[in-house]
Amino acid sequence: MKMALLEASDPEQPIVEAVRQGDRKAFEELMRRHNGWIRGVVYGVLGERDGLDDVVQQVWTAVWRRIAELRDAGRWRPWVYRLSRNAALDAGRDATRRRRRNAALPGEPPTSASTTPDAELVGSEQHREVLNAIQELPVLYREPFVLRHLQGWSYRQIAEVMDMPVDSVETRLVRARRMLRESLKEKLGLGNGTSSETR
Amino acid sequence: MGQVQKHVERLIVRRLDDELSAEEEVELDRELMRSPQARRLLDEYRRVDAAAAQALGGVLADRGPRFDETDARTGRVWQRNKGRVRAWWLIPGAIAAAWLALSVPSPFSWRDRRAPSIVELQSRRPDERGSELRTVGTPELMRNVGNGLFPESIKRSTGRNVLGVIGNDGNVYLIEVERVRTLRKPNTPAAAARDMNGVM
Repeated sequence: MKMALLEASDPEQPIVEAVRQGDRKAFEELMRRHNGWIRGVVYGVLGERDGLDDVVQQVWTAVWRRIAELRDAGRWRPWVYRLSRNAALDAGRDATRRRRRNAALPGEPPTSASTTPDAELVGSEQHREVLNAIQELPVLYREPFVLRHLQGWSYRQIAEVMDMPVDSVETRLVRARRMLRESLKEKLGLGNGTSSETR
Repeated sequence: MGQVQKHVERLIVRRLDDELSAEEEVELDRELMRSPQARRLLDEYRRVDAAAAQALGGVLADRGPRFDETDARTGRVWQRNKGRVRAWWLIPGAIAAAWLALSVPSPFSWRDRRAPSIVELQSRRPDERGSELRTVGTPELMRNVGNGLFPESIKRSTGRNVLGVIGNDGNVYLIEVERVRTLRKPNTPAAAARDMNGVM
């Protein structure tokens, strides 16, 4: 889904204004159009599928409840991005706490992302390996990488939503690729001992 | 990593992301012609990208947005569905819930009691956030009938529910239900006496 984020007149702005007035239909339309990238942001922060749907639902609930707090309708995307990111960070902290608690219980097997039912459902071994590699990326790099690959967003679109310079987005995407290439070298049969020549 | 290699790597990543200018395209093509390492790096990053896109696409397939305004009002999360919402039972369920809301009087109270529905959206404007069911008209009417000695009381409440279901196609279907509930108490001496004693 390509969106003209930096156009002078944001085509989504009338919808956002209508949502601010309490228009439910406009809100449903907003959800339909933008659920995808919000899932991407939440996944980018969480790094796993567990709890993703619940967090996304919480984000939309927060958008509906707090839309009146949005002062500039033209800046709604960074605002929604921050809501999504904070909700995902909270959920991530809760999940970490839960894992620690479970790990502390005697006789309880330790939980890890690689053994979750969702990971099992992903399918092939290679998918799991790739997802694990993405999950191991620092959040800093994972977020723009997921947005780029899930939504096909341009650097400028990612920069606007994440409220950072375009150059920073580019740097993070280069580093994310570099890290993934290293961690997937064996799995994807990359390198063959010559990769460092270019790097 | 030398500056030249870093620069080439950036160009490669920018090409994969469709971010190169025309001049940069020419520059990268020239580098790819010249350097087998650059060609290998482009190929490897392309494979990393393809694998990542495939894995992410599978795990993050958009199942359609979910929203429950009840959450917005009370902060509770009623829905905890981990899988795909199945419309085949949601639609008859929503119709049954609407029918029950219309036909079954509450035995306990005058107040509207709303059964938890699958997805319930309440009509409101921003200044009414958090409001409960609206009461339309006078909630309680007292009028004299017959010889005027014993009043007959009529209570009426009106509410509107909007039930929402999400279909397999990802669309949200809304069913609006207007409910009017009227209870008339007989104008018998016993009823009047109960009223005077404050017994409903």
